[in-house]
Amino acid sequence: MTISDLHALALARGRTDVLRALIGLCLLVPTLAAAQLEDLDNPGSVAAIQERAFRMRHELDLSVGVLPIDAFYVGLFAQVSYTAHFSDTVAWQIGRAAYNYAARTGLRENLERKFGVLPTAFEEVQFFLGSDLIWTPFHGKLSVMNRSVVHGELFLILGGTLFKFTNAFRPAVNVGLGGRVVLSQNVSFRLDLTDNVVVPVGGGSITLTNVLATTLSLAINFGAPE
Amino acid sequence: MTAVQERAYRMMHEIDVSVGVLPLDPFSKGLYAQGSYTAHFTDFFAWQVARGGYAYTVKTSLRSQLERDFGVLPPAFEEIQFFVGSDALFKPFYGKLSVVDKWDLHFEVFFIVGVTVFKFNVPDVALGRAFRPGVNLGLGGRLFLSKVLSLRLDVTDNVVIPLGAGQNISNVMAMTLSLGINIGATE
Repeated sequence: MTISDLHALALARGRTDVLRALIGLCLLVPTLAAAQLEDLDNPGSVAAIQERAFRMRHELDLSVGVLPIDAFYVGLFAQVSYTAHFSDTVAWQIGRAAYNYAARTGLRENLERKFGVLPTAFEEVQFFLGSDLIWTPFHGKLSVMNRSVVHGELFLILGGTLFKFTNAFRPAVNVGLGGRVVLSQNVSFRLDLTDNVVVPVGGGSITLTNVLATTLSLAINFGAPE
Repeated sequence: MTAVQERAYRMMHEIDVSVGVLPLDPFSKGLYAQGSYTAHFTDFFAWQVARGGYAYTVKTSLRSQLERDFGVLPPAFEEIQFFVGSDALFKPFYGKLSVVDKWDLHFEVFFIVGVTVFKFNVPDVALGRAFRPGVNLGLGGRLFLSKVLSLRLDVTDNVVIPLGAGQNISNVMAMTLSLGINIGATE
């Protein structure tokens, strides 16, 4: 065997060694993925927030409601309102107007009959107008019996109302909570619960009073984008 | 096509520590503390095996005025002292809520049907006058804080059945806020 033969053999062995080393390294590479597997076992907390399926734009509400809190009468009212939605979270209920029918309670009849209290002593809400800001931070989905899905939202209400009582006009600040169940892109049901803190102005009133209003609305949505 | 996701939270044995209010009576408002245990059999059905509440009554200004200006005697106003009951819960609704598009919350809404026995404070403590049964119907909601803790709000109307002469059917509305402790729930 000549020197050149030995040299060629050494080169061949060297190439083989390098080749073996390369193959060995390639077989080791998948072990690097084990670190990722460990990460996948403990991925941390990741929450995906889905796009809203329904958007509001110009909302016209036809509503009925009740003023339940007064001990002497229960108010039943009909209301119309218009709300402009500027974004998914902020809206302005530009105007609402309601007319109220006051149904006497048994307590009032008792006081008038047994204790001679005059009917004029009981002030009732006749009608009211108002405007509100609406903030909608909550939007969600509800499964019904694990078979169907309903979309909805919850919102907070802050506004002002002007009440016409039996003897005087009085302003109020109202705060409240509301919820919406979406039936389609154009139709939804809305329930509002608001507390009106009525400022004692005129008619002999000297204390703040509360008028709680519960309103159920059929909401018609115009002009919402897809 | 609609895909309904598996519920992330399941209830099993629930112990509630609660506070509540009885707001409907124009003459007095009741504030109460309550404890209860509920067994959840499936995602949709549970049995609130037992609940017991003790009430503290606050007079309203209307009652004070009637006593002061019209001479109405305090025994004329019946107050609830304590009550015990049991209910069936039907839970068809489970949902997720996003908060300002950053976080998500899980919740459920359920219906309540049950019975309650009320103890009223009356001068004549004959059984039919002091203890009265009621049928209650209501609505509740739960916000899941973790697998073990949740906040629960129940609003129920109790139709109290008259047992003695001169009594009428009356309504006692109860609003209860509870901290629910869930034991033994599976993944």
